[in-house]
Amino acid sequence: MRDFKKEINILLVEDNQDDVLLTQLAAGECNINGNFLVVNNGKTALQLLDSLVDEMKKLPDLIMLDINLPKVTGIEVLKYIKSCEYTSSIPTIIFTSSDSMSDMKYCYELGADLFIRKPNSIGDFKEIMQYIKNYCFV
Amino acid sequence: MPLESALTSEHKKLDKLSMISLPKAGRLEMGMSRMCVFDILGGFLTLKESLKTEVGDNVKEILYKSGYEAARLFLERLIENKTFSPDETGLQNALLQYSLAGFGNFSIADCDLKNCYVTIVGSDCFEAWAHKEKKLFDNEQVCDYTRGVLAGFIGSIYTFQNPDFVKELFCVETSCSLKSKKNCCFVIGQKSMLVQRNINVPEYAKPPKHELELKATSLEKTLKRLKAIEDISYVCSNLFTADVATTSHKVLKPFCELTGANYGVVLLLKNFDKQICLEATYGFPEHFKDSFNKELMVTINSENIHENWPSVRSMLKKQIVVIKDTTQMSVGFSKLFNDSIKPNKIKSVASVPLVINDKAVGAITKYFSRSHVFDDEELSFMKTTANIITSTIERNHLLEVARKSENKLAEANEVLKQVNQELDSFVYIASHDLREPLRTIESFVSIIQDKLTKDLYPHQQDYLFRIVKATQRMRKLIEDLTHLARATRDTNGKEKEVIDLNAIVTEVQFELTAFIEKKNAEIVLHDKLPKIIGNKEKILSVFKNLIANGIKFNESKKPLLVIRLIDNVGVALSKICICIEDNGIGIEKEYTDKVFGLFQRLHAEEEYEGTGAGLAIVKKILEKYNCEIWFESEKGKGSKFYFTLPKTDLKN
Repeated sequence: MRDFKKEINILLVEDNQDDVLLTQLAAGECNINGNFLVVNNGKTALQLLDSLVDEMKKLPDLIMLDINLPKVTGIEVLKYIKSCEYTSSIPTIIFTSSDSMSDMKYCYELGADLFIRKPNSIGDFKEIMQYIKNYCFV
Repeated sequence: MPLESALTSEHKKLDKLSMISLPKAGRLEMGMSRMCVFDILGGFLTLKESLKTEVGDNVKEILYKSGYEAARLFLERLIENKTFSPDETGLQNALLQYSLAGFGNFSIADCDLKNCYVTIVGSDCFEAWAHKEKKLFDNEQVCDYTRGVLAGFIGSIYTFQNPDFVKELFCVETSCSLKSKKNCCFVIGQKSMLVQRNINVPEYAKPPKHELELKATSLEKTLKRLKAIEDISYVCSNLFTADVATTSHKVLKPFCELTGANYGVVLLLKNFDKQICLEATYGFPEHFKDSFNKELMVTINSENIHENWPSVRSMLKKQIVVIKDTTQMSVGFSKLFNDSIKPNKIKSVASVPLVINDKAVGAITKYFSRSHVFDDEELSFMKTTANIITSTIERNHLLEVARKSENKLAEANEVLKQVNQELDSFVYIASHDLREPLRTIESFVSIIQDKLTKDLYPHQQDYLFRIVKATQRMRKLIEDLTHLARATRDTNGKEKEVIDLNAIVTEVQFELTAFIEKKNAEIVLHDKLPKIIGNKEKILSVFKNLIANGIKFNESKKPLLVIRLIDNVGVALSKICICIEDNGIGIEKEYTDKVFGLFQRLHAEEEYEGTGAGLAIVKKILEKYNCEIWFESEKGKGSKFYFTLPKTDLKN
């Protein structure tokens, strides 16, 4: 069991600043001692992960990934994460506004740990963060 | 033969014969010839009368012809065996011989054998006498047989002198001893000669044979024409898709061949009326068309073109041009034209304009190397041929117009299709992208609602509540819009799934469980539904919307929905028909048209929530499958929604 009081590193790949803020707010509400590393496009995310692996640095404890991203899509990033032996074990949550069943199916096929639709209220956000906290760190 | 023996022995004695005195025995006898009085009165006249009842006025011509033939046979033989000479003397002898036999006392009054014009006088021929006895004469000349005999004598001698002579000889009785005290006088000659001398030539009805011959000739002509028309019609019947050039070419041949024309052309205005072109030629050498088109281009503005080209003249004047004798053309054909047909020359030309809507668009022309007379029939045939070409031109023009508008329509359709597709994608993308900012609004509003409500005044709280309600409603609208857009979007080849409609109903029931329980509703699947092929998501959407509607718009204590498979009554064989019946609030007749409209609601939102997109989505999905939806309803009693789906033979 992991110690959830310990600071955890969360890589948030999200181009919508509102969602970044809401995610951080919700994480705070749930007492997640998160150290958010925010990247606003898929390409930078790939470069970041690449360099972390190369330099044998500490990898993020959790990755939250939007699908609809500039430059490189979340799907591509997910493919990379799950195909690289160093990163494949990192819990990866697809956090998207897509309600397409085929998107969801595809993501799970690629190895996503969770597929979550972005909620419409802070209450739902909190609920989801709580769920993530339980799922990943308990 | 008594006549021959008379000739050899006695004719020299007979220089003058006095006309008939009748012996009491009822017989007249002169020299060696005899004729019974009742032969003349009874036999000859009766014969004439009864013939007349048979053939009418033709009798005069028949008698004339028989007289002519009898005299010719008689005299020709005598000339051939050199008894008589083929000259005036011979004629005199023949007349004498005839008179000797008892008829007419004829003698030559004037003889111009060179021109075949002879006047013969006599007194009292047998015919005249008979008519007088019977009092049958009138103003007409009566001695038809005698006229024939006299003409036959002249004809035989003249034919002997001029073997090529084939024309008809006329004999006119210019005075009659019965009517005046003068002698009988007969003038024999060709019609033109008689007319020249102011002698009236009465025209008698021709014997039937002659008429028949004429008719036969004319029939033969008509037959030839019909054959040509048949040829042209045959050509035309095979020309439904032919262009004007082919039509012109094929029609021109029978057009020329019918009357034996040596050459023919079809001229047409082209290039928006700026140019006259030879569309087709007949009889001319190969290179003619090209050379002439060049010449026409050069000379189109010259004044001579009217004269050089009867076709151009007929076209520009919109009249038939007929030139019987080309030597009378003031300018004549161009050198190139004449060179092309050497050594022949054109003697006669006729050209018919091609006219469409009172505008001349060309001409069809035929040329004869010999002189040719164009009769009405031929000209009318030429007009018919011209009409065939103009019809082809008109038809081709119409076809082209039709083709063009067809193309335009297809283009417009393509554009419309594209625009529609773009619109669908736009709706899809827009509805998708609209959700993002809306979600942000909702999320932050929820923060204020959660954390700060207690710090707000009541009216501020009310405002906030309104914002929340509005954003929720907006989200619903956008979601429905997305569904609608999805209904028309391609489903990435997922149109071929085998769908068990019974399973679909079960799935809908499962998805709506909470709602069904809340309303205490029951869904009855009355008939086993078939399997079809389609897109599962879309078909599910159809059932879900209809079932949800049936439960939602329902005030019964126990909403009941019955799903039935309807027999193919009034439904295409390739479709199945399903009915979903509810015991709900029903739909008033006046809203029939509104029901399937997008965002059309019949109730206030407080009464029944929803955006009013459900049936629009259903209709749109069904339209994609070329299927239909309709309903029967009575307010307060319920509705029956019928819809069709494609029938699928799963064996294939």
